[in-house]
Amino acid sequence: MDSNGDAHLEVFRYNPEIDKFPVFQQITIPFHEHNTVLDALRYIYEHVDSSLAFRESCRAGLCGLCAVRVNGKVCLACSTYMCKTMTIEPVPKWKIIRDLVVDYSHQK
Amino acid sequence: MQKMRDVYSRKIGSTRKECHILIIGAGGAGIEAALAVASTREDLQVILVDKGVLGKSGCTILGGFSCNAVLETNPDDSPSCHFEDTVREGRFINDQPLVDTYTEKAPVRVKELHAMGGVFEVGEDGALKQEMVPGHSHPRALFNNLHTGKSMALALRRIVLKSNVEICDECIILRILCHDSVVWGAVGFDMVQGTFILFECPAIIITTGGCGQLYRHSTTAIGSTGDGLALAYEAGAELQDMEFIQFFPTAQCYPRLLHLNPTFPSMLRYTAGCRLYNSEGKEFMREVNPDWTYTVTRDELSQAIYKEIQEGRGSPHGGVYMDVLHLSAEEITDKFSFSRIYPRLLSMGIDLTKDVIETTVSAHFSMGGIRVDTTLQTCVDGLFAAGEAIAGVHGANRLPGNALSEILVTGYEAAVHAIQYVDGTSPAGDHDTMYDQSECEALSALLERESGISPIALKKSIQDIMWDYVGVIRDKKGLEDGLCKLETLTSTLNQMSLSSKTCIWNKELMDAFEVTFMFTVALLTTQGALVREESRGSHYRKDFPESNHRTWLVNIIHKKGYPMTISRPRVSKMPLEGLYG
Repeated sequence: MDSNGDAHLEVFRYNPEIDKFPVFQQITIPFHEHNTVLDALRYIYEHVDSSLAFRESCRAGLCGLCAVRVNGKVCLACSTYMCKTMTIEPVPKWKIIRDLVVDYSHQK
Repeated sequence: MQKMRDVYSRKIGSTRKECHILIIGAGGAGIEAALAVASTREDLQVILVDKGVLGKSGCTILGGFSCNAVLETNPDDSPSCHFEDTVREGRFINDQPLVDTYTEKAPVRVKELHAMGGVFEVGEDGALKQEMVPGHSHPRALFNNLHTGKSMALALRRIVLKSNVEICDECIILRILCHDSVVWGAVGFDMVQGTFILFECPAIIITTGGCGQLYRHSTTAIGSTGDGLALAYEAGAELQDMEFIQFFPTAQCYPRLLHLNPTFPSMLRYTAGCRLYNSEGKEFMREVNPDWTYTVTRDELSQAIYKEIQEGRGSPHGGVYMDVLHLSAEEITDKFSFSRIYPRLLSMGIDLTKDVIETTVSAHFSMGGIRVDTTLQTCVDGLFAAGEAIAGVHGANRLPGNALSEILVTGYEAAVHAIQYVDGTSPAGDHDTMYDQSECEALSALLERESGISPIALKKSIQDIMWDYVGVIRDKKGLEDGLCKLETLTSTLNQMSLSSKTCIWNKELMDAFEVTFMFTVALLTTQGALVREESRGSHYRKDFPESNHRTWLVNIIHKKGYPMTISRPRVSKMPLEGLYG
């Protein structure tokens, strides 16, 4: 599939074990209108920076594990089309384990 | 930096958890097993461990439509008839005693779950609704719109969270610990804490599901990497029927549609009588069988579709065309389940009254797996297995709807027998001297290696090899090439390196663990496919296109350290002598 220009991303990065503060990593990847936010995260993971932590599982909008915040709005990464400018952050209010992965263990 | 190094230099055994039964894999089968123990024996401690998240990871949640069981509301149907359908369409190599257990117990298990969670759709008369799905002689599919699996998985999750079962999320099991072929524990790695956990337990139930992720195209959850199959094999258990991988014939392919189960186009087939055609406009299935939409099983349909694609008559995005242009909008929404899907598709720019979609073949289910006896136990004492991880129930081809009910039955039965086993064993002794630090050493080496092959690349290599050489249509040359390519990858497994050295939720580290399991399972699948010189169910050999009952009405069995063996399937209700000739 041909790319239709670039997408400019700011991705939240934080490893509480070693980082004092979270940072936003600037990443440019190819834009495809039929691709999802999860495709974008996987593209980063496979081609740009494999240290990015994010959850994924069913890829069909069923399990909810890939929830992130894109441009301020919480969504399922697998069920949201990517756009040309995206700020991707973890879902708010949960303790951060690393990058986009939050600790849901008290959600029971 | 120092803190990080401390984390991974920590030895196996510094964190310990004890229980009576450890259940590996918290999908439908695992949760059902845990509940079966918790609801009957409060004195037994159960730990339910998953490399993902309880009830949400894994494939149960992806179960689209049907969960099959024979209910008394249909007097024409019977468990015996369900048995016959399952064995006939499994192409006779099913383990008949397991199919007996499955078909006889499915009704009680589904009704029990429904009573706890209101899982399935109920008609105005108060009875559970049942639909017909291909390959079955009677309507026996219970359902909840198009998200039956999700409905089941979340009900099970809700119930188990209220029980005394200890849940251990995001912990991947790396090795099952045995002494003289008797289970005593397992080594896990906690992805969140970045530490090893030593589980000590007299019994283990493996419910890790299948290995759909061995293939480039798969409808399965991302974690279906065959972990439990490799763990069981390494522990000395037998695997069987590994060559039988079900390919889903009509998975969504183009346009890219969101928030939909990849298997949803099958509903256009079952209930809307879709047209399915190639780039020449030819309805290649209807020409063979006018009733194909209701009768043809997944193995035959996948092979027919894949042949069209391979021979250059596919659609632009690698599938074939499907439409229901013969129906009006009212007819589409009236058809079962499309009242919700039709408007959702409309919102994504797809109008089923005007537009054509492309669907394709995609790895879906593993019929093969861990060989168990009628008590769901392997040949390793204390090692049980259930759900998609076991072989035998579905033979060479699984019928729609037989997965979601099977996981309940085998999960429950494995728990019952594990309880009996635990009751009959003496309390665990001191095992301090009986395990080594191999996972800890391997992890240190992996994290210290500055350059090497990426586990992400290695995973992709396995998926490409399996799709290209061990896929829907196979032959000797291709399988030999595939095997050779897999074998050349062997040496790279201990040459992996990671771009991030952290142990805290390191996705690449998870890939590195999984790739080792995938490699073991891929090799056995390929070896089985090469040996089986016939076609049967999902295993299609271009060079041996017919079934050969006389020679190959057998199960191929793999055991580590031994040559492959073959054995005739266990028989109960359906004699096979006539077939052997």
